[in-house]
Amino acid sequence: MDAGPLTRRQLLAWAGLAAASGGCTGGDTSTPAPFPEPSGAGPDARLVAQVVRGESRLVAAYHAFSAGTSRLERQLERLGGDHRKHVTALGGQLPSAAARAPTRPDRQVLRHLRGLEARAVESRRRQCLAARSGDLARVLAAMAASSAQHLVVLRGLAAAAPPRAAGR
Amino acid sequence: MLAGEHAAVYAYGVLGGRLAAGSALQRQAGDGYVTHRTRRDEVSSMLEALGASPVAAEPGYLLPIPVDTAPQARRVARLVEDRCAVLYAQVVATAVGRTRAYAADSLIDAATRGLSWGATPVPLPGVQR
Repeated sequence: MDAGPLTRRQLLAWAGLAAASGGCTGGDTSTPAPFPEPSGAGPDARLVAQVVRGESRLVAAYHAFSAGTSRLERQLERLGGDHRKHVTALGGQLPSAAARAPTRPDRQVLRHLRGLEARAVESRRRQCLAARSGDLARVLAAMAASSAQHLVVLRGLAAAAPPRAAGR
Repeated sequence: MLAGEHAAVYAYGVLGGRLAAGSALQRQAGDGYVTHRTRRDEVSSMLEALGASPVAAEPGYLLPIPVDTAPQARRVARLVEDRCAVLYAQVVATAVGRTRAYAADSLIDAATRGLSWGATPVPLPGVQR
């Protein structure tokens, strides 16, 4: 059994899958496919593309509220950084960094981010179960665990956040 | 997977005995003990249902560091959860269906339980540290 982290070769192979997002769906999920899959446009390709889109939305959400240098904004920047790594781990392209409005995070923002992370846990878990490749399933389960960790951190940050940011 | 849970149950048992009686940390260790004991029994039952022979617990396990202080207890608990996360991530990769779902949920639990012992979030818990 492979006890180590993903190798660069494996991550690069996922990059190929992500690029081939027009693959078919469905198929027998009763047995994990060997890694790497024989075809770059296999049944997991659409799954990878979906995950990249979802993780990119999370990157954008964190980006919008981490423009400043407060402790809270630095923490949000760090969490957004994990989602950037999720995107690149699957070979996706990071969304272009839009100019950030001076929006300060408050409890309402944290509640919004918690909602996004909770949905991400459910999505990644569901996608993990649907993956044909065992290695892809492992990465998706780890992403679900990462979002679950973010939920815990965001709950902890709520106490330190202002009820409503100035100017909102 | 089962061997890992045997070790986790042992480690949390030691932590519970070394931490201050009635303290929040001891309660936290007790919660970890119950969780891993339950999971040990569930994994054992899953293996029996598959016709496999569940591995027995060792008489004792060598903890990576002595547990004389609260920071040491936290560190051991973090190591336990980190190793469980790695184990369950491996099971996710090799299993399908309900077993994969069970392993994914256990990985999620290990990742968040580790935070409660002072671990910091990582991008891919159980896969990359």
